[in-house]
Amino acid sequence: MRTARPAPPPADGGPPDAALVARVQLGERNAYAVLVRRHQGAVRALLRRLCKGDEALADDLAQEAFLQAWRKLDQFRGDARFSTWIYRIAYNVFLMHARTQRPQESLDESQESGLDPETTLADGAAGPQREAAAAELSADLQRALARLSDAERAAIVQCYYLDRSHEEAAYVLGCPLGTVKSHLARAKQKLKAQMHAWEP
Amino acid sequence: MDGSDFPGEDWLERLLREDAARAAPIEDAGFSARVMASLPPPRKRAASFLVPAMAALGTAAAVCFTPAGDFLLHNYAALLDGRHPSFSQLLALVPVAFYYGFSFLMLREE
Repeated sequence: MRTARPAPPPADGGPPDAALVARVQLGERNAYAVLVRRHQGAVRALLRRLCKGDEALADDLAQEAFLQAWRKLDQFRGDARFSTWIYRIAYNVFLMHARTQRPQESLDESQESGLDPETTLADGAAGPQREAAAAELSADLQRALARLSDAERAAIVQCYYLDRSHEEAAYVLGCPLGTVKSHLARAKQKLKAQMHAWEP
Repeated sequence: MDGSDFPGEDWLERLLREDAARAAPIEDAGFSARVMASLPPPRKRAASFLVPAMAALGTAAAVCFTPAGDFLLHNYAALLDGRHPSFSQLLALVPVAFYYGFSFLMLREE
């Protein structure tokens, strides 16, 4: 099991998140703009996956998450990375939205791959064929992910798409470590059943 | 799994990581500006003199307009004399302490 890691240096070369948070807490609004620009991509990507690709909804929820983070920033004590903290807020915003919605709509079962997964992702496949296969794989994965429960999907997104440790995922999802592991195990079992065509 | 950076991961985990790695970064496209525009305007901080000023005003009102005024006035005057204060004289400080305390807590809560 991987453990929580220290925050890597920012890719944009700017000040670390902790310094920016401290400046925001002193009232510097521009520092928050830097934090938003730095993390918007990951937060929106997370929400797009949780929202099953509904980009407009995901962006609305992301905006709400950053707004809530702004309001709560004086409560941020730095016991988690800022990115982990904002993911947690984003996940809670998503949950609040999901609770107000109708039960999940059934997915279109008729969408099936027209490509042969076993051959198209092979190393020897031609470039365009590989790209098409990758797009097909991605679409199949999104459909399979959409069939998971919200908690299972969130655990998969945290641990595989955002590369978070199990502990960080537990923090973001607001549940015990064992629950995250259970969600992951169940989710992977379901995904394997739905993605068996891609098994090498 | 062959070529995996994560020893022991199975084919599904490899597919998930590969799918994550293929995901194109999301361009800002004005999102950050919309977030910043949606933030509430900076809150005007309460002036630092507000709490003691309100406390002084409240104490003055209590002295002037309540039946306890004589008691408070007498004891404040005695305290200002600088002699050893009695228990009843110290008792006159209780309302002031409450007023400052609650004012401070209210401002902190806000």
